[in-house]
Amino acid sequence: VPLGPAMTGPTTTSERVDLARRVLDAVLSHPAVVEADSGPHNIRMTAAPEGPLPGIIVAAESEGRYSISLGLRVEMTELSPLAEALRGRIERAARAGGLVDRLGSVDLIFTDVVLAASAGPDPR
Amino acid sequence: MSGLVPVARGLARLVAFALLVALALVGLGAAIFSIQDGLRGLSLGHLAALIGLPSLRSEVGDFLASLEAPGPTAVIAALAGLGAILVGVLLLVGALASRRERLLTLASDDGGRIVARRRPLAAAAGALAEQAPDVVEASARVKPSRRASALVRLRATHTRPADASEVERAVTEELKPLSEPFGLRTRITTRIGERGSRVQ
Repeated sequence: VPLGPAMTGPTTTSERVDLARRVLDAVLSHPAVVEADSGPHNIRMTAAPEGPLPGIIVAAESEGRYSISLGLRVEMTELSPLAEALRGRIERAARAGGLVDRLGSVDLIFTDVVLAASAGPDPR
Repeated sequence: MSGLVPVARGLARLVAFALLVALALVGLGAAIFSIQDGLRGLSLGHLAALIGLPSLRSEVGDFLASLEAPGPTAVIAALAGLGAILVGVLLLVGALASRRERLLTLASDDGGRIVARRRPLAAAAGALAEQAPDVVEASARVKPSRRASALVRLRATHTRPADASEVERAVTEELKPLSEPFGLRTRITTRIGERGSRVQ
């Protein structure tokens, strides 16, 4: 699998990787989020020293900011309030890490909506 | 079908690679044996003799003659032809199937976008519609729309005593948590459930 731009970052923990890790942790702790989805061919991943972080791309934008793209499998719920809640969590996580000034646009990609009972690892 | 596409893609890549290698080797051979003319040395006539084209022609001729004649060989040939057609269709799927995620942008502002795949969006619409009174089953499809972020086509099956317009209104109401925040257009059709339809 060819590595995308987000996979070719430095091997030491960078600000970008730190942001990716914090955002992923914050989002996955939401009860309605089942798991992060790295998409077809695992294109949505960010390289980190401990291994690739699935479901997230953190890319440099202008003015020293980072845009975030997150793929998520979520439980059946209203998507608009969920998106708002997730954006709030992402902002708080970035603030806690002193990275809120680095936070650029955030794309939330809902790749699957599952019933709570059927929530489990994606067989793909 | 979705499970077949990756297999088809892998097969198409493998066949394309093998064909390219074969084409390169044939081209190289033809180029080398074009250096001289006549039937000796590095000539195409000598190449034809080396790979046994004259004897191959007679063998293929006999084989084609047996194919034309009725009998077990013709049946095997017909089955092989059918198999070749299926492999061809599989290769076409592998070569032409889109590799991009089919995503719909539901909302967009300076802070970013809210995006979803079509299928989960349709599943959410169907699940919401099935909460409407008298609706026993609902299925939805979501397509991009020029006039809205997306168009949700939903077919609701309802019980016989229920009024279709009432069901349509109830389904529209149930879909509002999904349609209003993202500006989705909805097109709802109703039908009366047949015997054996799921009971609410």
